[in-house]
Amino acid sequence: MSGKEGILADPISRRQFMAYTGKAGMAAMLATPIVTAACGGETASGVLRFGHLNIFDTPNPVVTVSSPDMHWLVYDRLMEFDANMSPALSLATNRVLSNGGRTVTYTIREGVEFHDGEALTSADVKFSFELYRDTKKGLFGGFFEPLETVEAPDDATVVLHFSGPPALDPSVGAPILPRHIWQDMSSEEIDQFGNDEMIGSGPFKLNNYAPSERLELDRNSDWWGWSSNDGPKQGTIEALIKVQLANEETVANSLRNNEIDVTGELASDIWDGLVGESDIEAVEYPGFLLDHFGINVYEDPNNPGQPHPDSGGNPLLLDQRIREAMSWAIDRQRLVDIVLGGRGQKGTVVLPPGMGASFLEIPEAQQANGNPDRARQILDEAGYAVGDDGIRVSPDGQRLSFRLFASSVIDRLPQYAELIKPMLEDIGMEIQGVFAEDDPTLIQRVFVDADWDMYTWVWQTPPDPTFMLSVQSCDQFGNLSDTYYCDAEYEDLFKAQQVQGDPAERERMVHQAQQIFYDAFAYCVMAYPNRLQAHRTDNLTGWIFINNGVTVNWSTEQYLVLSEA
Amino acid sequence: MSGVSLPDPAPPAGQAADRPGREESGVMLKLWRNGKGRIGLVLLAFFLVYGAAGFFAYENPPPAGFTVEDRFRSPSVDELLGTDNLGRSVWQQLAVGAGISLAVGLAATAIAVLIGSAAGITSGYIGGRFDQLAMGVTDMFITIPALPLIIVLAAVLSRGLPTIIVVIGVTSWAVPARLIRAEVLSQRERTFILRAKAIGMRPLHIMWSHVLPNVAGIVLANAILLTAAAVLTEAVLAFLGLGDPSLISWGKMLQNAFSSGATSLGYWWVLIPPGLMITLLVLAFTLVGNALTDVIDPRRRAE
Repeated sequence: MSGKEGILADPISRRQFMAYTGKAGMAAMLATPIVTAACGGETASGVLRFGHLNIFDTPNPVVTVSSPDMHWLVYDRLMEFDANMSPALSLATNRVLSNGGRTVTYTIREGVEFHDGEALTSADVKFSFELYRDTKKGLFGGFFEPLETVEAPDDATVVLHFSGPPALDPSVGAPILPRHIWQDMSSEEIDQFGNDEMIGSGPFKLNNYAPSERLELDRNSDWWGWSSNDGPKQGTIEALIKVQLANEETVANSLRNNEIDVTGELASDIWDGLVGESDIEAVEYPGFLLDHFGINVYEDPNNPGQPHPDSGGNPLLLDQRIREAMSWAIDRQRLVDIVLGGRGQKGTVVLPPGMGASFLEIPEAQQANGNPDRARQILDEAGYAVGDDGIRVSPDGQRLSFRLFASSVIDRLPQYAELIKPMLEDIGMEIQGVFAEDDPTLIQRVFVDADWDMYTWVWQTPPDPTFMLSVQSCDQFGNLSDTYYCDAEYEDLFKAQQVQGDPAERERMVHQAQQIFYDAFAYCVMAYPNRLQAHRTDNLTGWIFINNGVTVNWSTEQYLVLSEA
Repeated sequence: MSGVSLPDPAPPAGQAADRPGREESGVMLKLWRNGKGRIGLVLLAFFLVYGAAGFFAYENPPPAGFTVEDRFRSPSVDELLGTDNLGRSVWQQLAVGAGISLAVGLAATAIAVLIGSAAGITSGYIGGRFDQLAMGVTDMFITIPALPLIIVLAAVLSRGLPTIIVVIGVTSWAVPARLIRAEVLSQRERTFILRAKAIGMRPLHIMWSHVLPNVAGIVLANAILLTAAAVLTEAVLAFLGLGDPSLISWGKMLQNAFSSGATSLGYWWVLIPPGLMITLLVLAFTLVGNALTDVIDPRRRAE
């Protein structure tokens, strides 16, 4: 269960507490300015202070589903995403491909120690990678699918054998765990492991973690990367404090009041309010976010065209023409303008444009978007005539009546739903809802019970297409899939691109997979929001532009180059 | 039904000698003559009409805007109170919100009064062990901090208007139950009750036909004050994001104003109108409730 709401869907998990502890406790939060009390006066020593809606999910890197950046600050990786979001060497000093790209040999840095003083060797890497490969849990485990075996011929060498040349080497994500701490646990114990001490080998050490309140990391001055002769990380900050705040308005006000240095993602109007304030820089980044609604297309594999016995969705949604009509009925520009305040792009395919070359651009003229007449025409031709009450009915008398669900945890999801409801009613559908439910209820409803028709949701993708394409894989029923879509051709492409070593060929496959899924209309991608953040410029210097945001992005570079102003 | 055939031993409720000014017609008149009562009645009448008009005139939620320019429009001749972050008319939201506030306030109070009266009357009339037990439970409900309990219940139960109504209703019956019980205790010793008992009337019949009419005034006055509290609680819950997310209420408007950043952007027209409306409606119920208490309970008026 833990993987559903949050896998890479950072804004979701980050905001989960808003409706419960967060918003409910807002009065208490306003009454006790814990940020001021806790952080005031520490700026002088070069502290990076964050305000976030959800600071961290768990210190256990094997099961974590959000905040990879915090794990990457505490743990080393063989490779990392650099400031350009390209994989680069990190703990590894050399990487050699052989056997047609199926074998990768790493040389790792010598003399590296974990925070508890134990030496880090290839045995730790082997242990960690085998653990990720076998558990396949959490954020990092998912990338280990193609890994077959790991060898550690000597202390400084690690050899990975893949089933095919890996499109994305999982070494860029996987935190290297100290074998001496983790080796004696069963897989169940590892699942439950609180990892309170968080012993890693990375640039920061865990100082204090109070769930849903604050996370404090202290500089590991022994880290290999701080040495400016050897590594590029020239930052001088001594500590990093992440404080959980109740809502975005509080985050913005904390930034104004110099209680924090940097915000997480903000809604456009809140962000607008920070533009032009003194000592504050408000920045806009291409987003890796995908705002969409998934349609229940759970089909009986033994009886094509018929709903799966376990599906609670309206069987009419298995008719692709109805789904296509829905897509034509949605005026996406209006959604971008009204819900996102214009700060985003119209949605099309399943990868967001922040992905660069992997993103498949659908020409404007070919986008099924914003044309209710076309939608009506499709439904007319498909035989769904308008009934006496204005609602269309199928030839055998079934009404086009669908339930629309939205998570109440993210403000903009019910807002989208509120806007699309009249758009769909306009073409002769009855939309029940908007049913705004909290996350646990909705996760059960969609991912476990398959009892929904349409469901607005957000994904945030890493800078590699595999994760987002995996969501629509047949293997993800009951796990990540918010459509129960399953298509053989898509599936083949998805699997093949994972082990396609030639970037151009992989890009072609990724594009084709997006086109197939777009044409199936199981997703109605509404918008790609831009990421809006802000930071103070008076306490710390060294802020750089990294695609996908100042914080909680896929590179740790930002944290490691900050210094006291 | 032996009680039906017997002559009614109690004086009609209106003629209870020790309750001057009990006549129904007199209550309204006295309420009107009471300055606070008159203001309250006028306000209340306005809100009833306004809420009903809003319910029939506009959809809830009002339609969203179309372009970026439709968002946060400031008040103008076209749009009297401007628009919010989704380009929805604040004027229309206020009107549909009135209906929600009234519906929640009145329905939740109905639940609270029903439970409170049942508990207060039976407890006071039956007395003894039952009284101790019932009042023990009542005291428990009084001592539990209401708002946290309401927040927890609203967060745990499924989201929606019925949930809000039930949650507010079942958490606010304890104080009226106490008040009503105290009144029943004094009524119980009256001669007409003793007479009714003597001729063998069933306890339920006595409570329904003789006790209830004599505590109805207290119940009513208290109910009106409860409604004010319920309206406020609904706004608080909606503001905390625990209301029905698909319906606009005044509390939801305040929450939208806060979460959309309107407060720090200085868009007062999104913020002030719902706050003002909540204040006025709560004021209306409070004025009427207090005036009614004065009118039917001269001892309190003397204080």
